[in-house]
Amino acid sequence: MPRQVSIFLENQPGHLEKVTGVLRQHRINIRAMTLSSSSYGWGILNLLLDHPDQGHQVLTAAGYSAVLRRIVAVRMPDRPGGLHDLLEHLAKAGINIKNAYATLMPKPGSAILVIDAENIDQVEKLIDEAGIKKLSCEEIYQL
Amino acid sequence: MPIYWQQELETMPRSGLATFQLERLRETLRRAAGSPFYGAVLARRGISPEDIRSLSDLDKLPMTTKEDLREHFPYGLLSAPLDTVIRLHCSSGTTGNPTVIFHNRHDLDSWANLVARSLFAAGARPGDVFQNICGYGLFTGGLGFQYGAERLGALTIPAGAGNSRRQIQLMTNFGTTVIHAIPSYLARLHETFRELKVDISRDTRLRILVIGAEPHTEGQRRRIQDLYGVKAFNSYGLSEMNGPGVAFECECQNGLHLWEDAYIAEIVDPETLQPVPEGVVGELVMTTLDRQAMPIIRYRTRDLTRFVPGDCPCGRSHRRIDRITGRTDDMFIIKGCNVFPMQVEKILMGFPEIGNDYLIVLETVKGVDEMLIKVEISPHFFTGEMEPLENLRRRIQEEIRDEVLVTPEVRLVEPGALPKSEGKAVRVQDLRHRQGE
Ligand SMILES: [Zn+2]
Repeated sequence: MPRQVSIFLENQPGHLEKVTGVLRQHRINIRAMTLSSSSYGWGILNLLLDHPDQGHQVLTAAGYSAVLRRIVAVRMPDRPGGLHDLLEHLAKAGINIKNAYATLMPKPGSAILVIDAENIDQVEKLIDEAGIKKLSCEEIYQL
Repeated sequence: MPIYWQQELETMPRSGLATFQLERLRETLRRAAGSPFYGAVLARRGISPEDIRSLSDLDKLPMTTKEDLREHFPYGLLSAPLDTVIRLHCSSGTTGNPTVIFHNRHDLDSWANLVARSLFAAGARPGDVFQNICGYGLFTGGLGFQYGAERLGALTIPAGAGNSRRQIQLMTNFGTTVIHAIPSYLARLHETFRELKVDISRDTRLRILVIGAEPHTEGQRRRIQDLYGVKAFNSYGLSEMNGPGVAFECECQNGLHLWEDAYIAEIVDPETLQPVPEGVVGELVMTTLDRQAMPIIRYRTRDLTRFVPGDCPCGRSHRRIDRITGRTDDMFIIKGCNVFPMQVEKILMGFPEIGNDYLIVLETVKGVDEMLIKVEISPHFFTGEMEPLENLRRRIQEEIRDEVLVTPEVRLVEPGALPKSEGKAVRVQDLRHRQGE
């Protein structure tokens, strides 16, 4: 099952660069990332990596508080209102989305949506029921 | 099996102990009168040792401060001929004169005995292997414990401070059973145990930890006991009163017996200098009763503690003091409130979600003094979600506000972000603008 690496990060100049530096040093590629900031000087950086286990390991070794979190990734619906329908479907089922971010794929006009939610099993089920295709690990990590 | 090092002295009834103290106090005053400093003080007040008829006459004598020791550096309080003195210990004064304490042969003998008695009370026995992980040299924790543990009859390893790998190697090579170290170092040493995959219960013979020289909370002690799986005993001492061996926890771990045959202890209000009621926290004031070369009378230690009320189940009659809750000079004032760093630490240690290190930063933000508390979040607690972190921040903030009556800003920082000093940890940074600076 696909996973992202989430790490605790202080909002200080240079801190993000240190993280990307650690990953580059180990030749780990970042497929997508988002930073959610609290208003108290810190935030959580979510990284979609081509090698999440290795990324988790090297960041932990570098002293970061890092965890692997399961996610669901879907191809962004390419019709008007498609994204809204999907999110509404999840919201109606009571899914609390912690974080969602989009990333572009190499193929023009195509994007994927990454969803990080509390009850990820249920999200997978709802997406299957809606007939939306989930991306496999290979598809995500090899984006 | 004996449970006392010196049964008669340690279990002496209080009335007998008072008589013993009075006798020794008079003797101490006679000696002290021979020093330039006390000679002048006693003459000025018109007091002779014979005027002291009961222990309550102690308050006729003036208190001695660290500034007195500095001002009369180096020989002003020396009461014995210099050629009978065989050791000195001296503080690293960062500003002004250092303070120096002189010992003759009797003094070193008496001191070693008190340390041996203390270690015995905590459960150490002849035949133990005692590893002294602290600085030697001028610092009294090194030689003080060295000679005390030797007096006890332990194989004593003068390991010195730092170099965690070597410490662990010594422990496994020689079967160390008792360690003395400062609490913040033991937390760091444990990380090296983990790195080297040395299992304390399987690979060492460790059974007792002695911790001291750095104020710490009960929570911090429990944490260290949990990490090492053995009991940790609190030690109290200060170089002006020899060093270690002034007060020590017995196996009951409920307060530190202060050796009242060797010291008179008073606890006073640091502002009024009047005695506080039993059980109330105040400044510890001490008089040496068995030091010949350099007696010190009513010394203001600047350490804050209280007498623990009641008798100790161990049978020792010497009163117990509580762990040191701070120093009168550690206290800082913010927004009109007196705050001791230990109050903050006590709260922080109650949160398993955060690490051992913290930093209190006092700063002026837009003309207003603010207290910022930085804590490291423990990697085991991090889930990748915001809410638990934000809840944690708020709970810490609220608990500290309830304790010190000032609302701090609490900032969570990355593990390892806080400065770890090799010696005593730096806990307070005062960056406030001062008028005229
Ligand atoms: Zn006791």
